[in-house]
Amino acid sequence: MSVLAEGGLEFDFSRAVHAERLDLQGVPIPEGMKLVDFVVTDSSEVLLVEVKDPGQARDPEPAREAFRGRLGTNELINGELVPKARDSYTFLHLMARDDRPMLFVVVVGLDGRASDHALLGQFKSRLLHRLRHEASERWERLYVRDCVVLTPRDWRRLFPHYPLRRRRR
Amino acid sequence: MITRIELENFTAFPKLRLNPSSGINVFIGANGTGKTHLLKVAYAACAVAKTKESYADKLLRVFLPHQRQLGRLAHRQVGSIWASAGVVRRDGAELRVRFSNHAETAASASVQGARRWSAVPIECAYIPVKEMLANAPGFRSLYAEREIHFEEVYADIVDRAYRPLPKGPPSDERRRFMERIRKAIEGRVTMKKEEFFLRSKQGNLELTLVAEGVRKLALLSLLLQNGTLLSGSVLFWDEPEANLNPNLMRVVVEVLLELQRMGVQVFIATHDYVTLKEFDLQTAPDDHVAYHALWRGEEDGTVRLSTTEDYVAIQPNAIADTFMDLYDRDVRRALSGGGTG
Repeated sequence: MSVLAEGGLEFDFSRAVHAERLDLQGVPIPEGMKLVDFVVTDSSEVLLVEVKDPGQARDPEPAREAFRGRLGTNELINGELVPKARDSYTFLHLMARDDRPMLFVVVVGLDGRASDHALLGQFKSRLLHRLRHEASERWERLYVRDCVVLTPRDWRRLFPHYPLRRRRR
Repeated sequence: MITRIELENFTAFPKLRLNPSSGINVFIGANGTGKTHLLKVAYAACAVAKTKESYADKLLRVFLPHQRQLGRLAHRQVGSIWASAGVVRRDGAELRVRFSNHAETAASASVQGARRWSAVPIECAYIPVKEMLANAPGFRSLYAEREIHFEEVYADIVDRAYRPLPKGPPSDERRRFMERIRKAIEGRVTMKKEEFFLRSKQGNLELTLVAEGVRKLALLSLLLQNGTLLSGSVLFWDEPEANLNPNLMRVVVEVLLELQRMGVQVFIATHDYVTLKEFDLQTAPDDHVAYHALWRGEEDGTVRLSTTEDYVAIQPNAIADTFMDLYDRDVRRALSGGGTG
């Protein structure tokens, strides 16, 4: 399956070595695990891709504004993103599929106004800190080598080989 | 209240016309785009309305060009040119100075409109980037007696800090502002033998022992307390964020917006995202906040101006562009595998 969609965003991973949804409806996943939307394997690494798309709301601008507010808190990082990254890594490790370095990619459906990047840069720093340090001590293993937080526009610029388009409602 | 600033061949500006907001005016732009120059031109005009000094003289002392040659304030170009700076007030009074780039002294400039301009004094204050309160004792007399190389904005702000308190109790409004600042700096400012102290739970601390950011808020508190900042006053503040912990910007912006609601016109120059964002978050629908972006045109390198009242529409936004650049480099490092540890 090379075209994967989440929210209003559709990604074409046909040039990847392998791409799949981990949380396919109807397919049981281990009790208590939270998984990212897509796992994309290319020649050198594995992308753990999580999509957060307020842009698909009926009235997207207020939804985006509310989402900007959530980026300022730790709830999204601690409660959703980091558990998904950690559990997805664990899942892939137990499946003996952790043979490449992993990069955690969060795609946020913001329109990428200039001021968003101050917010996203800061959000990424907090996210990376939490990925490294959840318990009383830092994880000994850097299970994802880094993370990035991208708007769809950034994704298109940085991953031109994986085309992204917004689906019509 | 200032309603227009016009510059021609003045410092960085070949030509500029600015209609400031009656409330808060936020200047943003890269270094060298003339933000501070704009503040100083307007401040000098406001200051002489009360002191009745020559506008050309005041500009010289506020800008302090090499060997105090007025002509050095003209836009740099080959050949002879005339420079001018004009400031217009709400009542239509207009103060204008005109001089050539060969002018050596203030006396060779022509100043128009001074009589009408100084008929109505303007209360104003200019808070420079470097905090002066801690060094205030002795600075005034030194400045008055000796030729020391300090722009006059430093001596002026020290003078204003030393102003005696007005008669009668402060209004509820002013008392509220001062209380807000007192909470932020966890104390109140006192003066003993021309020396300022911060009286707090820790005791009576000389301002030299207090963080520079706290001193800035202490100065603001003094200006409120002694009536320098009243309805109709004009406040100029160059880089309020300098040496201030970002979490204190919330209070600074809160106080600036309140001052604006009280009728103080405010001009600030900033390089700081937190300052801009605080204005964006705290501005109420009835507030008047204008963002003035200064930048150099790619074709000829001349400074241009664009003004908007919508934070999101600031264009170009040198501060956001810097964050964009940081973000971009961070993402590229992550994608290229340059680890973060």
